[in-house]
Amino acid sequence: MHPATAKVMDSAAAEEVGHATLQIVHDLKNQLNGLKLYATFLRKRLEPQNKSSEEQEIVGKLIAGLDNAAREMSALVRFARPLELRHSPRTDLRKIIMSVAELPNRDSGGLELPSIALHIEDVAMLGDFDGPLLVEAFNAITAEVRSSVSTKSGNTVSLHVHREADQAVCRWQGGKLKSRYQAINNSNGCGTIHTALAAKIIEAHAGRVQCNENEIRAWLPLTSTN
Amino acid sequence: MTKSKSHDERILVVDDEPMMSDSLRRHLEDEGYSVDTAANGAEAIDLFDGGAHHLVICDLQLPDMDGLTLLRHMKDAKPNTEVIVVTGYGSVQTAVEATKAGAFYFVEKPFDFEELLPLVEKALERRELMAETESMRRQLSTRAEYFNIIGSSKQMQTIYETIESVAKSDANVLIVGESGTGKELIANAIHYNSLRAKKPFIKVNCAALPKELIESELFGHTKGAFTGAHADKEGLVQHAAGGSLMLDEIAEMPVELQPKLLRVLQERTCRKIGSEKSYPVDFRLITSTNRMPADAIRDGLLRDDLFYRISTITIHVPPLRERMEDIQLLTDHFLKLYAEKYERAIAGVSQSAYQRLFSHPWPGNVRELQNVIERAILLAKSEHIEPVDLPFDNGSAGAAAPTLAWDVPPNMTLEDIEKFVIERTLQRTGGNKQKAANMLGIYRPRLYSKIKKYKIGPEPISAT
Repeated sequence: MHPATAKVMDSAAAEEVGHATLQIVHDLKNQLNGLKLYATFLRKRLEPQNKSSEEQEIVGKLIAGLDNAAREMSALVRFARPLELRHSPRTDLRKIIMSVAELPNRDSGGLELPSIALHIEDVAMLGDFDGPLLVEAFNAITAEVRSSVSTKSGNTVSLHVHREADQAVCRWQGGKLKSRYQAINNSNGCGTIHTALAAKIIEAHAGRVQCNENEIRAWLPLTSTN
Repeated sequence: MTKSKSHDERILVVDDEPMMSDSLRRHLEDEGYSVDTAANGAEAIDLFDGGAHHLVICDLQLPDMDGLTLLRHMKDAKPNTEVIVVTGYGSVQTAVEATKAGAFYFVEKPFDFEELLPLVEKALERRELMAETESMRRQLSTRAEYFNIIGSSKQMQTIYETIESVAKSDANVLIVGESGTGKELIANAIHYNSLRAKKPFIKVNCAALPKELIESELFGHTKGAFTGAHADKEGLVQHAAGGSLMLDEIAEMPVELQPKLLRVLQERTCRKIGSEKSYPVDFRLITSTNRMPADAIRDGLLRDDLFYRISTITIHVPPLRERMEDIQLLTDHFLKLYAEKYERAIAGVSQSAYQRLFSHPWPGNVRELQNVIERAILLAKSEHIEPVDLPFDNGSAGAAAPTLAWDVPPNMTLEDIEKFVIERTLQRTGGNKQKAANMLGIYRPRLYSKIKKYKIGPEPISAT
């Protein structure tokens, strides 16, 4: 077979596999919801019988695991589908970025997370943005960079944002990113499905995202100040 | 295991994923409900048509049928049955379509039973309330009056239908219409038709509150949050707990405050000014504006993300000039109302006065008509309202002299006008109170009490 033809067929096959995977993930997500409802039913039944804390702990971990899996699958399904953007003209990017400062300081297990140092240039950064989606994207990337840093007390991740002509440049720095991000690579060099979804959100705003060993950078177009 | 609770309600769960329907069945039965399950649309229709289900929990994606088609079938066949739609992947458009088709709520998978149970309870509660309302409504022979909204025109009938279907849900409603069209009455009808009817209905006019105060009024503040904040204060969103919040003239809300409102609507939590802690809020939002939303967005007065959030359902109230067929009905209503209030024996409106009413453009809409009729009731000298009693009368030949004789000075209150009319009538009768009472269409004792009330002097009144 001619190499170019083979490549086209590979591409078509990959697309088919992608569609099939998406359908499977979608179905699995629904099944997980059913399993979780069984687990919560079981937990409800255990409580009045005063069952041992070990049984309750196991059911609790089962529910948390199912929740986590369902969350990952939801993100994958959203990543595979077109985004529904609701643009608002002249939205203040600075306020969107400030939302990362409100991320919790501890993880679900109660462990202290690295603190976040925000450095935002004091200039106008207005743009045509979907605020809630960009908040989700910034939070996801920040969480990802946080997870690259050890949870030792005093560790921080930083987010620098400045304006360059008609775009905002956002730069996250934390631990060594490259090894994590090479493991699950997409076209942006970004890692988990949540980060990939974040990149997709930024790209849908006519922005772009890049990853290297030391940092993640994102560019977003701003309204001209002229 | 014995059930802790017992209900009469029967629920149908429709989902092609057996684990979903079975686990939901167990949870619901544990709460005391009777539950049937169906794995596809055809099976669901068979069970639904043959059974008396009070609530259906229906997946949107079924192997043999679109869930919206199933929803429409159910609402057509038994409109009182509530339907909660669940879906594995929801878009805003689908949610809006499901709500328009009559869904009580739209739930996205994955969900917890703890999230679903309150919705089930609310849906069943509403169904019961709607059945009661329906029974009361059947007693009305016409649909001309609906929760004090008067109008039998096609536009108003459509609005009544929208109110009925919208009130059933917790969807945010935006009411758009010119000043005086009755937006507040529509908001009242939505709230008092809803499951929240027994809870507070808080109304805030965004244009009336000073810009600096509105955030504190809406969301509350803590002591010392700003100069003058001497004590903690609850916000109106807290006062509206469990009920509805109406934000009148939403386009007048300071644009910098709109993201905060948006966040409250998205997260259902709120933070007082000066506080780090968030508190949960539970209210249904009704907003209104006399501006066209597109214009308000274009002019930068209304953020479009907030607009999308508050306008799940938009009700456009037509100006009076676009529903002239309602003028007679409205006139009769106000005539009866004010004739009783002012104890005037006014039988109706003359044909020529009606012609004037129909030819007026009504820039002030129903409110203007209400004021015109109230004024006419006070000024009318016969048992019918005549063109001369209407403020926009241009002066027909026969009416010219009386118009001048009864000219009302500006800035008068209704009481001033009443006093003025009694004085003028006494002038016309040369102080004869029986004649004056006859002319005014009231009994003589009533006239005496008015004379006493307004301290109209006993001295002979000289004619002007």
